Amino acid sequence: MTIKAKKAEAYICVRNAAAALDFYGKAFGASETGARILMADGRVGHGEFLIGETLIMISDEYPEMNIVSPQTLGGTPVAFTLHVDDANAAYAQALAAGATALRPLADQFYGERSGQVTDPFGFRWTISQHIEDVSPEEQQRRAKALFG
Amino acid sequence: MTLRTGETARVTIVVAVDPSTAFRLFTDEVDAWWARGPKNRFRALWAGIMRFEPGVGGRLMEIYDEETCDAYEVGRIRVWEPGRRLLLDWRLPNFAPDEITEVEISFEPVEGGTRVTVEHRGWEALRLDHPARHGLAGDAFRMFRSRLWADHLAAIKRHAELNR
Repeated sequence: MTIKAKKAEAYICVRNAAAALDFYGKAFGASETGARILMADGRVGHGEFLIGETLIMISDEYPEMNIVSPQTLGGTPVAFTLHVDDANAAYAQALAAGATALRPLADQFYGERSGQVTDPFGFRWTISQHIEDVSPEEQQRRAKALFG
Repeated sequence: MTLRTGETARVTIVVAVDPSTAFRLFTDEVDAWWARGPKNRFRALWAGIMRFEPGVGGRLMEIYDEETCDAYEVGRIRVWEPGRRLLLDWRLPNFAPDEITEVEISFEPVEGGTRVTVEHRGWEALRLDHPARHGLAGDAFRMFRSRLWADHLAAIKRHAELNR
């Protein structure tokens, strides 16, 4: 029988975790939880923050242990989705805090108003607000009309 | 010997009170926020009360019976600067008389309150088969000690939020 994990949590690596913890607070309203564990050279070995109910763990780069960030990799294969009540305000807040616009906000055929930003540390974040309940049939119809 | 360098535990958190209050909560109210139980207290099987005797030369104690003076002395206070800095010796019950570590706690005003940083130094001097190591050395030992302090700091953060 397959053992089922109870949940999955992300552990991200950035250049300058202290600055990132500050940024995620201002941009997304994240709150740092727990204590930061520091290394002898001042790098953050472990930190934690909550976005809503979701815990994300964070550290500085440790290239000597092959722990590197999107900036070192030259891109990221990971995007996060933020579920918000007011996408316009959340998107504006993220930009004001220093995020870069990647895809402007737009109403999507599946009933979300969403857009995407890149944070100063190289991660992509989709900011998404539920605006309409769309049945699977209706989604299919709209997708067909849009994409053929 | 490279295994035994870099075992200083350094942990930091922001508590939502001013530095004077953070210092007072850390010292005067230590028994209220420091977790109980064998992992966190000094004599696992006795319920004790933790107490700082304020000022340089004072002690951090865990007191089991005031009347019979049954107590464990964690260490002497060497620096007592309310609202700024605290430095004390730190000995575990399984330390030999000549074994000692030290803990420095700094309180720094920051946006939103006070950054409390703990630095626990001197572990490298403990022999590799010392029971306080629980079989760990180097990075693994440093993380083990750091996580204990991280739990303590998370506890004082909660305590500060409840007592603002």
